[in-house]
Amino acid sequence: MKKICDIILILLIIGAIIFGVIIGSEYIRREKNEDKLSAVVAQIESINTDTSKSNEENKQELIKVDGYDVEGIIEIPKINIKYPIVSKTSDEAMKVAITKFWGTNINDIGNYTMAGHNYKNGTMFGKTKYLEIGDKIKMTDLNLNTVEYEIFKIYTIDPDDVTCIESVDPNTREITLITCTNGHKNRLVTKAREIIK
Amino acid sequence: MKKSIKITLMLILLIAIMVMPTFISANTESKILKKSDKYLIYNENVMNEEFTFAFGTENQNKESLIFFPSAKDSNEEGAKNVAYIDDEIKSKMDAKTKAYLEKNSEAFLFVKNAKGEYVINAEKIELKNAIDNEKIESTTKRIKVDTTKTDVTTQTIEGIKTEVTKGKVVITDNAKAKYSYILIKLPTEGENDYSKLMKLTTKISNKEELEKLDIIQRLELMEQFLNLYNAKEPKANDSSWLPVENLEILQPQDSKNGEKYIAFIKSINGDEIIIDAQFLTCDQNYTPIYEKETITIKETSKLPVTFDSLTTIIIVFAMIIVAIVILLVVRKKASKKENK
Repeated sequence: MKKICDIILILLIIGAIIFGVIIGSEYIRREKNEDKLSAVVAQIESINTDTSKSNEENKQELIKVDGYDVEGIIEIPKINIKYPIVSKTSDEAMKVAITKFWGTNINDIGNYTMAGHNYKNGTMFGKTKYLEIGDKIKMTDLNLNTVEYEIFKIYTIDPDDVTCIESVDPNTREITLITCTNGHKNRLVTKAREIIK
Repeated sequence: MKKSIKITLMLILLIAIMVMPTFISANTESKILKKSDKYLIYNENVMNEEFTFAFGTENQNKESLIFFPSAKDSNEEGAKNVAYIDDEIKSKMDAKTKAYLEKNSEAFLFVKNAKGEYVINAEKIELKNAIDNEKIESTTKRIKVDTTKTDVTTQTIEGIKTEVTKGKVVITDNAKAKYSYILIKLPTEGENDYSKLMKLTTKISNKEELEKLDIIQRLELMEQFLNLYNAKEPKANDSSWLPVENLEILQPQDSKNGEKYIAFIKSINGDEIIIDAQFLTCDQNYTPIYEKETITIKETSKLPVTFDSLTTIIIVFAMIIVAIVILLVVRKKASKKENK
């Protein structure tokens, strides 16, 4: 009996060590990724102020993050996030940044849909659940043109329901934020449209 | 004394009456129209009645003039009477006048009306000033082009895809020749020589408007056009000529609908150089359409998985720790029992 307990204990300790290493390395990766994304955002914002290189040269250098093309920046002041948006959605891309899931270009007329992980530490779209109707979202393209949007609809859908990528009004600028909720059983959809001044 | 004054005044009046037709005719300059190898000479004072005409040299003795009957300028009703120079007239001229004409491209015209009175007296006719009907009619046709073709490009501005249709000049003349062009934009406000040229072209090509004018007004219009065209047509060796690529002259990118351009086109085929012009009005249509993704919704059948997988790992890790703790407790209790 004692021997069996010892063997199980040893196996559990080995398992704990392995999982501990996984958790630790993932935590470190996320911290580093956050720093990298902050640096990319800062560099994009300095495109027009870095006079040592032409804007095009700057864009060429900054346009990629871990090999993914960057299209612009999303900023949500209420939950204090500011991330670059990469042009493609995949499991790997979503580990790097917020990803474009649907749409043409940032701030184009029509719906621009983004996906981001619902990280429990509140990074990426981990805090979008705290957003409310009327909150503001800023979208900036690589020419540093910023359009401000206001949230007008928040709802939960099934993962197979892709109607959220459709524009409510095809003649307006609209953005949609998607992240998981209820584990991975549902998706939290946050829709915002351009504030016409 | 009084009588002599009266006689003098009468003489002056008589002389004035006698020379009056000469003065009138001298004030009305003849217009020369070149049609093929024939020069038609129109004079407003004589063109409505038949007359006879002759050509001579500068100090021509009238006695030796050879007169020819005037001709009609067309077979239509209301045709005008004209003097003319063609091969037949040249062959019948006196040798001295013919030699003078061939040497100087000019001769002096004498016209007598039906009564035999001189109504034009030694008016200098310079053939180099003739209005070249052929050149006018061939302008825009010397180098064959197609101006009906368009170039359609698409632009996407702020998500709106726009089809921009712009006109272009496609040269259909001779693919072997080398073509070059000079494109001149006409001012949108005010007027310069090029915009005057454009206006004259429009007037000349409008047959309905032309028919409202009499022949002299028509000839004056043609003369104005030709003088201005000849003054503005670039020289063949001008440095501004640009090569034509793919036999197409595209409407400038920044051009706007309704803007006017004159395109001078030069063709070089061996030793033959032809210069022509096209008078263009920019035709540009914008057709905005909202850009739509070609991907259908069916292809996006599932939303991405964005949950935090680390949570599961942490839960498993926590469960392992709990299990270890439980095992340690169990093991400790088992040890105590053994010791007892």
